[in-house]
Amino acid sequence: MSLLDFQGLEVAIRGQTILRPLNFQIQPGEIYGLVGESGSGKSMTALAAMGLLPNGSQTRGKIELEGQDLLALPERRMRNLRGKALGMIFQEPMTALNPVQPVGQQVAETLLVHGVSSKREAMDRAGDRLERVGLAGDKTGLARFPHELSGGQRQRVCIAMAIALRPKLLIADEPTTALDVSTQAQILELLKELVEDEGMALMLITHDLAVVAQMAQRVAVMNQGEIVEQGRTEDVFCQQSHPYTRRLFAASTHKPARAAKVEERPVLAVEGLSHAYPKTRPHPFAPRPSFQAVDAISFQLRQGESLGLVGESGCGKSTLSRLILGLEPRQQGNLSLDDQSLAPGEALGRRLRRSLQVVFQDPAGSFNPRHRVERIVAEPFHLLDKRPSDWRARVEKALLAVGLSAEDRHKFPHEFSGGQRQRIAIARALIIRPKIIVLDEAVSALDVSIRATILDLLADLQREYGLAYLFISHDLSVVEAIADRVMVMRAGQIVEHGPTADVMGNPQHPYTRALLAAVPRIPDHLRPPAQTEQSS
Amino acid sequence: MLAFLTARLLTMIASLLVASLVIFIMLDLVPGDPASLMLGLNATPEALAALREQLGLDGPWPQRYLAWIAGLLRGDFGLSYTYRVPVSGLIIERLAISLPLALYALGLTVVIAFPVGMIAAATRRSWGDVSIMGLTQLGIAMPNFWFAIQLQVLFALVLRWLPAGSFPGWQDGLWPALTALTLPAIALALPQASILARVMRSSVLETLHQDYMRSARAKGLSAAGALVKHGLRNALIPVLTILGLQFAFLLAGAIIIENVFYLSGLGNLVFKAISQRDLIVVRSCVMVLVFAVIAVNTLVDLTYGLVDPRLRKH
Repeated sequence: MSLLDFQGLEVAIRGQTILRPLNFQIQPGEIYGLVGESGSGKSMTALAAMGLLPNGSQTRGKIELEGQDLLALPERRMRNLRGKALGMIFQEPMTALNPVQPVGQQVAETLLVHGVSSKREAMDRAGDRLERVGLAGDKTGLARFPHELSGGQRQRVCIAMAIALRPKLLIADEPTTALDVSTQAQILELLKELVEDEGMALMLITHDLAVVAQMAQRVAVMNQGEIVEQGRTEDVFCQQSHPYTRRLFAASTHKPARAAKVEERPVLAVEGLSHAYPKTRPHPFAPRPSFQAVDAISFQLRQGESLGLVGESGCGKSTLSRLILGLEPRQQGNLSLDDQSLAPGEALGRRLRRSLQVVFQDPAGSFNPRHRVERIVAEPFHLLDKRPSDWRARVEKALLAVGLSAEDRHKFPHEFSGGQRQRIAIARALIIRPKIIVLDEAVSALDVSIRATILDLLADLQREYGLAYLFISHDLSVVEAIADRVMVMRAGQIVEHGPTADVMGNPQHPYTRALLAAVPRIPDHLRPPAQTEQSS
Repeated sequence: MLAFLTARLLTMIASLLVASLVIFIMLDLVPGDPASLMLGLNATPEALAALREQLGLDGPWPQRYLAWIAGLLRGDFGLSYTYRVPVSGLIIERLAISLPLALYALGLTVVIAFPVGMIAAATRRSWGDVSIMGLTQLGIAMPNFWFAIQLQVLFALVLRWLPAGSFPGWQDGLWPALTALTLPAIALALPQASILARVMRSSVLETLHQDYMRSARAKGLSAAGALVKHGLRNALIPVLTILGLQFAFLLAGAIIIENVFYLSGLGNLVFKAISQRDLIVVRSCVMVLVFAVIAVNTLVDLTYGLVDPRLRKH
């Protein structure tokens, strides 16, 4: 008998269909992958199994856990299963823990809720479980608060919480999406170990095909609330019988066709750029300590060139981009833009700012929600002395250039999808014809298929306008696809710098090597025959 | 934690010094002669001279300021011009009513607002929530003196459960004093509880959508259990801020209610002192109130640290 059996599960929320009949089984002790893009219904499937669907959801069909229909159970009995037979971890470890409670108590709570042990025993066992997931389980370890831990450590606490009672099934919803590659590799390794040691099954939900390829024995591909293809991972990966599966694979390995003409002349040069942030004083009369976020960085960006900047969170990438954009005053180091050199502390000024624009990660957060697209895109015009008389026509042209329609200028940001919003952000960056666009994690929040189209768009625009890109990302595969040269940043310093093919193909610095080794890749034996030849 | 405490206490002392300087400058250094201001137009030159001497208006101002501060630290607030008794005695007498009344009202505010706000949040958009929100709207809109009069009519005149006014003092024991303060405390508390319940509701609603609430449900907690064990404490920060402001209001702003119930509290003393131009009493009362407000705010700051470990560092 299967452990968890979805029999024709349908979910609708306030009349809108979210899941079409789903049929799949998870066997005891197996890792089952559920892949798909955002909005495909992966998370809803998991929440349905946990009995935690949002209010106003209607379900049909059955979800059987060892023969018992979960959808028919009353809430009181379902509560007994949650945390005990079914554990779940979520995407955002930064917010998944109660910020005002020590982590030991949060893990112990799983035991206490189910009344399986006394308070003291629960704390002892919480310590054991924390040690099992690789954290300190002693008194100090138990008394730590979530804000004292890193993202990876917090996800470990979430795992300890979910496995405290050794559930039969652990559901992991994008457990590593918010983490750095090396942390991701460690967490995936931990999950694999736990499945083997504890004999539990794992339902792994992810958008990342490479992660599934490394982890899952069987996999289901979801699209628009339906499972379009399922089976053994080798079969699904090698055969790709459904067109959607093929599109998903193509998008995830997409490399835009680039024909950039890189000129010798640098449009941006920084030399010895450093920046330190003040930290809180240990006591009121102590001297203020500081944190060196950017440490003596020098590089040049040439016209028409794409320069990649990779590094893990906290390495100083964002501070560097803020320094270049003039959003943070430069404490040390020179910056020369368009042949004009600026000393530390010297502001960019409107004329220089015109040649520099930026696209941020979160397209939803970087627009004023009460402005229409027209006003948003026209914003950089106040860097000119006077708004050009044909500004409306220019806005239309910019929208057309990024693949939107001229009519879209009358709409508000919320009327667009994430990918479309990122196009609007690119249109805004283009409108005053800058020489450089800083792309700060600009495609990180997008689904693979949308990411592929945005990367194509960026390549086209670069060719057409001779733009230089500073492409900042934690995702090495994206940087590999788009950058001519790449810089690897760690703890405020550039540890390796060179043409992309050299750095990726023959990394010199041990950190670059470790970073590359941690990136999940689809192994060759899981690629369809044609693709294997292509990549080799 | 020790650093957090020291920093907060230092801030408190600095605030008190600045406040005392501002009060001193406003009442003492402004153009015009405080003595003639206090005595009015028909004052005799002898009376003016005597008062000037009593106020210590002769020396340079830093010396007068330091003398005043030194007096405050010793508990010597000077002599009231109108009552001819030490101001400290007057204030202590009035605080014996005002402080218990404010604490009583604050306690009622919390006891009403916390559960009401949580129930409204937990049952959001149901008829229960809508009617609670409607009632709190009414509680804020209704003038509290009118409400106080209704309370007097119902509980004192019709039902005869509680006294309609005046305060017997603490010498006859706790019970008569508390019964005398009950109606005024309710009249003071209801509008404040209405405000606090609304703050509590929106604050709890915000936590309901947090990821850690979902984690708590995934552990097997019920919706109500997750709300009480994880939501409440996270919702407390904005509630505490409002509560601190409310205490300051209850201590000094109870004058109308004091009048309705014939209580001679601190508000009453300040009001009379202002109308009689007794600047010595006004200055001392204002300083006591400022001290109370700053002390409460410091207490609120320290409680933030207790509630939220992330705030202990700063």
